[in-house]
Amino acid sequence: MSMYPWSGDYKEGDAESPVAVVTLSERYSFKNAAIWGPMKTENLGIEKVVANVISNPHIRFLVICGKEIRGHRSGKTLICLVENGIDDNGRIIEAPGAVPYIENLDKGAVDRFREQIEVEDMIGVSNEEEVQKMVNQLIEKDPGSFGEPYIAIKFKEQATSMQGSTAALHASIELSPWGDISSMEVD
Amino acid sequence: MKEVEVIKADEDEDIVFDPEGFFVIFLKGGEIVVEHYLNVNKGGDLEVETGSLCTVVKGKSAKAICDTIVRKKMVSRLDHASYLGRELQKEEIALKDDLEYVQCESIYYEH
Repeated sequence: MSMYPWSGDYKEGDAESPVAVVTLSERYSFKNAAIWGPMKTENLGIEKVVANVISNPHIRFLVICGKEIRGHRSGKTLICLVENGIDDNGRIIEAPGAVPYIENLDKGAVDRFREQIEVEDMIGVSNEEEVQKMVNQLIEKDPGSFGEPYIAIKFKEQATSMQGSTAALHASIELSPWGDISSMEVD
Repeated sequence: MKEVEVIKADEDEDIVFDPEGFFVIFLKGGEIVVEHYLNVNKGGDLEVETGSLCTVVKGKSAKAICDTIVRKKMVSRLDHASYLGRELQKEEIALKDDLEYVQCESIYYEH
């Protein structure tokens, strides 16, 4: 089971590594990083990065690399989040993206993120080896764990059941959960 | 003699938001994951500016996920439901054939 609370399009590596990598539109793979993956949107994508990074206090550096997402400007917007935070409407201050809003996390989570990590701006760098070198350099500078994990979002598993539902086999026939086939009234 | 009309299919260009919200879809841990968001307008120019995460539906079968989403009334537009069906079927194929799946993009087999 993953230690990160919000599932998404990312890969997990060394949980005690101090480095996370956002690859924007690219798909890379890194050695010795804690977590990495693409991030396309300046609202929901950023929220997932924030929630997952603060759940692992070992992460102290966030590398943002790869080709910027046209229109969304999600890389630059993430930097603005770290530098400026959000206003009372959840808008990332001075962000260039079209919809730079934090809706699913509270301000405490954003504040924690801004305090926990330092950003390494490599937006536009699409050389995987160059980014890996930066990851290795940042590991050498590890200041240590930030403290306790901050869990910003929680998912409750619920068993699903077909009981009580019917499935339409045809416009005029339905199947009950117990296997009974009956006719439906058709206008 | 019965006459049946044959029409040439064409695509709609406009995207109309579903009042019941939108979906973010991806593969994780050998399962299809569908996040259902309710539409949120933050007071700006766009009709939908972000989403409030409401429910997550997980499973291995596109049909099971489609059935669940319809049963729970998470979609209200036919075009949205058909889009969702296409994406989920693509995702099930990607899952079974160990292919990369990215929402709204084609899946590719390596030759």
